[in-house]
Amino acid sequence: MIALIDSNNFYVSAERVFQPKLRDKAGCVLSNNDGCAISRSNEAKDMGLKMGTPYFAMREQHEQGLVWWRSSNYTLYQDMMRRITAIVKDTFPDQEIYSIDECYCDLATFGHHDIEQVAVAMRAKILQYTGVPVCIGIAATKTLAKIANKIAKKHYKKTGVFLMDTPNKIERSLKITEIDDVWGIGPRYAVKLIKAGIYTAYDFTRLPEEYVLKLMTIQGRRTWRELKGQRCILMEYERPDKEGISTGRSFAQMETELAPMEEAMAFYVANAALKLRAQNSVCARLFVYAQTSLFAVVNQKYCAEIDIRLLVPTSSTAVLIKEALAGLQKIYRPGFRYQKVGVELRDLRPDTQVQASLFEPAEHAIQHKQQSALKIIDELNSHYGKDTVRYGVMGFSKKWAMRQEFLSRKYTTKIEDIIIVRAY
Amino acid sequence: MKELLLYQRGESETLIPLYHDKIHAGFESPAADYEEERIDLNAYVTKYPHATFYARVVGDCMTGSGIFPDDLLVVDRSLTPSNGDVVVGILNDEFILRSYYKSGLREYLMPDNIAYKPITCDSSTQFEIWGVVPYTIMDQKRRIHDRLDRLQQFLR
Repeated sequence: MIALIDSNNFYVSAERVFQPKLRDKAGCVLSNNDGCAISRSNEAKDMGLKMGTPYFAMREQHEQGLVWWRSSNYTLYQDMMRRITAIVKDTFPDQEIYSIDECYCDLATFGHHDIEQVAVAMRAKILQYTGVPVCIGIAATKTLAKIANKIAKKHYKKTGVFLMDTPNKIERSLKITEIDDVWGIGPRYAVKLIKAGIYTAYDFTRLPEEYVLKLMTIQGRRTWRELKGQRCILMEYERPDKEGISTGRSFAQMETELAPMEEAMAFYVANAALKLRAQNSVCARLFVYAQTSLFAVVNQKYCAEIDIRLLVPTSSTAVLIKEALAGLQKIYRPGFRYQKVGVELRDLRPDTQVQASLFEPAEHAIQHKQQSALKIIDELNSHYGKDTVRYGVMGFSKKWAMRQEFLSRKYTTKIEDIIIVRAY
Repeated sequence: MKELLLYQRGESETLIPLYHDKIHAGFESPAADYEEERIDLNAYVTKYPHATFYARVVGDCMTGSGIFPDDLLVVDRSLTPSNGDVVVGILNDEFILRSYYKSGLREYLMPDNIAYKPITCDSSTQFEIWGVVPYTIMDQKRRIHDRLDRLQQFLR
């Protein structure tokens, strides 16, 4: 059996752990740049607040005190996610972290236990230890576990667990699962299927296999088989070393000048380089891009990218910033209103494999020295806070930075930000 | 064993490595086999790190338990409160520090300072335990002036 553990309204739940006044009230967490609602409380859902509702559309309700909102506090969510997955791992060690609020567990080694009881106890433990409510769906395949999880969320609110283990339970569950709610069936296929009279997951499983294969290729057949209880989507335990590290975000407002874009770019490169060193890798290629808004008028639209090959693979922040800025200067055209710049470090290799370029033996020695300087910088920054020691080009204004007007504190990762307790 | 890089300044600004290798200096330490992990304060004060949070105190209602304003609290959510435990609770949407006491169906939030009154929690109060406080940390350096005042009284 496979269990899917999924946090309920994760971002909202994480905010509420540290801000009791947000509980039992309609509210949401906003996307990057405070754009729109990406996580909603149950009360907000009941009010009819839809996923993706833009910030300005909620302003009136917010001013009347009907809806609270927060900017996304990814530092906090990441830490809460780490806590939850660690607690899950104590019970179910064969774990695949699928996203920030979902993980799959293979329960093959749990045959002789009462799985349902174990899951109910684990859910209670996660709620007590972290304050975050989760739901657990257990079934034969990942696709079925996803359905079981949805049913747990909807119909088993008290225990938060649904074990979909008998043919009868599976049939009943598939019959109440609409086709567009099935994992692996995209909106376009869903429309096609509904037109053909296939409304539920159950209807879909009644189709002949060849028909599904013809209509939806092998991807569709895989979903069909998974719904029939045959495991096709396997567990992925070790996340393969990331193929590339990318950072880049939209600016708070459109930028026209090169200087603030360079500042932002330097920040992104420094962050990416830090991640690169954390996984003991170096990169051999840099991909730099700049773009205007997708919604810009045709002749004001501009999007450019440049692929830079490094002579010597490196993880040095200084070298990477130098190269990225040179790239940005090449693709920058004045007269456009830019919305976003970004960088992706590509062609990653373990740092033990680094070979000095034949033509630059001295470079190697310098790199070696830089490596130890960087280690010290990383240590200082992890000790005294991100970007305490920084490169000059990164600047201090941060005018370009993401808008996060309603950001809560870093309750679990910064000592100045911990909760305050009233003892009076 | 330490890695060492020596450089000689040449004519140009380029640095030329003189010697670059791991230097094996003398015998290995006779104590190498006896090396143990250094004492880890985290391991001492946190039984279950994934359930541990930290909090800051405002107010003086727990001075009898040696908890003063600005002290740091270790809050462990994996513990269930017993009578007499110091707890962080939520009362009227606010974090509150008191000692826990249960008698029959009644739960009390008790101060440890006679200047304050106990709070009775029944079905009408919105109250829950957020976590138990197994350890607190006090900044002794910050209390130096208070302490000096007291010391001087002794000498007088």
